[in-house]
Amino acid sequence: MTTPTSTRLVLADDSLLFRRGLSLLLTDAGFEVIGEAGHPDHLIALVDSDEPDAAIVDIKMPPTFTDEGLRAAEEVRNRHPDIGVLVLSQYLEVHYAMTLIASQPGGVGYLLKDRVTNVDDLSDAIDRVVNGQPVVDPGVVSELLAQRRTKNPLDDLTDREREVLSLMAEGRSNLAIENSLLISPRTVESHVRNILIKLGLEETPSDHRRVLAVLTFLNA
Amino acid sequence: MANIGDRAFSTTTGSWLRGADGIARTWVLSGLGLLALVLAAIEIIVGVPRAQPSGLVVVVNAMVGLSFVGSSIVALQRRPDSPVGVLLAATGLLWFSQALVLLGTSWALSLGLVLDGLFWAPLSHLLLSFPTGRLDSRVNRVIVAALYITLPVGNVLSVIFLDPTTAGCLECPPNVFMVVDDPSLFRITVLLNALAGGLLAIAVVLSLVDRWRKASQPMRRTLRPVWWALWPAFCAATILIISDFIPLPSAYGTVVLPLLNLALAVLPIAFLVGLLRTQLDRAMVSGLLLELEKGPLPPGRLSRAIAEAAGDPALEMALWLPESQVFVDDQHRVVADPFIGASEHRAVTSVQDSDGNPLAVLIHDRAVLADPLRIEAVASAARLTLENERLHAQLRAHLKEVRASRARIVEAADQARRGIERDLHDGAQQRLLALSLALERARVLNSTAENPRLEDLLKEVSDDLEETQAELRELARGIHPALLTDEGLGPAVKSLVRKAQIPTRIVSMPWARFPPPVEAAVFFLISEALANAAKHSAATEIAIKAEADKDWLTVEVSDNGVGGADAEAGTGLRGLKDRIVSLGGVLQLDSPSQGGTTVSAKIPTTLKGQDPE
Repeated sequence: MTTPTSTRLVLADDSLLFRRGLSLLLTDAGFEVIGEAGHPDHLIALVDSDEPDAAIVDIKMPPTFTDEGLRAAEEVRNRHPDIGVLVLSQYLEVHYAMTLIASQPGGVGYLLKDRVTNVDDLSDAIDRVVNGQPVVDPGVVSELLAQRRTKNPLDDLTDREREVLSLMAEGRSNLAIENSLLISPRTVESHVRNILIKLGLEETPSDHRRVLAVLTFLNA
Repeated sequence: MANIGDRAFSTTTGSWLRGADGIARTWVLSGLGLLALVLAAIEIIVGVPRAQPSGLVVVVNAMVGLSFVGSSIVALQRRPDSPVGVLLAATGLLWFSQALVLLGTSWALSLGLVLDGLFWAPLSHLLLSFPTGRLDSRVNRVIVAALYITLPVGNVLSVIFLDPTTAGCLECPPNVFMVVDDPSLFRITVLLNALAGGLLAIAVVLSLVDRWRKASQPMRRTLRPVWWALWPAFCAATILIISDFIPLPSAYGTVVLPLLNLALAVLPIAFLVGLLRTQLDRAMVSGLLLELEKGPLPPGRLSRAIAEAAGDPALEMALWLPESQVFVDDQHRVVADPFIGASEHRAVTSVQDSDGNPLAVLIHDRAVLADPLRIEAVASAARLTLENERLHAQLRAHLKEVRASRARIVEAADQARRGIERDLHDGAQQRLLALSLALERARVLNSTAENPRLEDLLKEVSDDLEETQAELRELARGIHPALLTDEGLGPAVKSLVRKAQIPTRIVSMPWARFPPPVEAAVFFLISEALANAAKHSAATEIAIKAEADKDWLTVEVSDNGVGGADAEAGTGLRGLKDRIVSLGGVLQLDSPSQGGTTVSAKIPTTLKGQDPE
């Protein structure tokens, strides 16, 4: 399932060990890694000069090692709205994912760093941000869905609807949901409509707006 | 910091009279009075019949001397510690040198001539040193020394050239000190004496005006009687001096001169009033004692009570804390070294505790020293209260220190936790990630080699590794949530609530940032409360409320469970309490057996360690 197209990538992570490993893995998986950066400033310079298809950025980078990755992602997107940015984080924190998705329409993703253990998931996420779609780590989504609530509107959903909801929250399009659950476009549409009605959300044409609305609802 | 043990306690200089016992003093003072009366009697008995044009001048003249000596007796009796009495006595006795001239014997005449006008020296000394009797400036010491030297020397120099008969006094006895009868040399020496005396008189007057100008309010209060009595006396003196050279109209001799002499007679009484006024104020000390007996004084009251008793409303007090080597005021604030505050107007008096160690200092106007006994009495009266006050201050200082050290311990523990979290993140977690990457590469490489057993094995290891990483991530988050450090309370509490086992609502939560120890305390309180509720309360709902104002952050976690929780039962809440108290906050557990548990805390956000009471 690895994409044979040579998507051009730059990597930014302050750990050389991780950068090298990731670079080798992605090259083996058919990506073309055209540059590596250990500092946000270096990343911006690389993106400006080489114009890759996507940048994979660690959230913790110098100088303060807190959320520089989020700011770097925003900077990259502001300069080059067509370059996808995938932010990797060792923290399974909804807060960071929401901050990133809310800051940019489409083409950005928040992925748990551990996902590199599965190159298929990783390349899928890269492909999606390259195609201008949002990506939210499934772990973040399942944490949101798992939260206990006194009057839980999610209780009204069928199991199938919950599955569809989590795929929506991960930022997947209807087409992706069809492929993932092996159901027809009309079934997906009706599931989506039912979910939105049950949760009291408005229908929206853009995947990005939809994922934000769903995440905001779940995080309330 | 200053060590007040090094500074001498000097408020009094004893005089011989102070040391002398009562009976000896009575004898000396009686003798002094008797001598003055005899001299006055001689002056009046011998002088009045001969007086031209009126005997009144002589009587008033004798009264001036009597007034000085009489005042000196009162002063020496009431204030034996003060040199003022001695100076008054010296002035009065020297004044009677005129009586000696009148006695008519040649030795008395000669002695009278030598002593003539010498009273100006002790009188000026008194004027320039009042009320303490000690000359406080170099200039004044030089002026007074010059008077003590030039006046007698000048007299002797002129007396050796004087023959009274040649000078026109036909019935005068011979001058035993005469060496050469030379009227012209005599006139020259008299002129020189007058010139030197006049210059010194001007110096005295200028210095007096300068003292008055620079005097503080309390000092002026003491000086005032003397100051007002001085000017008529000064005019009298000027006229007396002028009359030596220019013959004045007879009205001066008969009316003005006695009136002005009367003014001079009032001067010693003014000194006495100035001196004894401070004495009268000693009654205030008993007022202080009464005030202190009432029991503990509110902060700030003690220094005011002392200030009133000492007669200086601007008086300040500082307690010496030997352990921390600092001075504090009576509101327990650390103050600068009070000895730096000593100046021309402000003096510093040390107070020792009952063991003789430095206890406190009083910073007051120098005028207070006019009666050194008074400030000493004030200090003695306040000693016990001051010692008590110092104990309080020390206790508070200790408490503050203990609290600060507890805060440091908690802070250090937090720092260590943050450190462990960071080490895990940068160390073990990074390595595991690198390992995952390598493993994943192996799988990718193997996918073409078509070895299904290896593929399965690699998948198994990869899954295990992923689980290990997830566990490690949760462990790190439990040790210290990076989200709290990086993003603050709002996101961190939200994340906590998302994983809570009982449905939890955040009713309010400030999104501002607070000092890290405060954020950590609130976070761990909520975390502990949620965990306890999950374990014991059987609650179905939890509400979190947190609000911040300018100085305080209040947080409240309440559930609708069974209640009856015991704060002492678990180590969790006790540790929390330590943490919150160390920040100067309070933790409360309200868990009635009818149901419901509320854990709440109030924590200062400024980290100055305020008292919550």
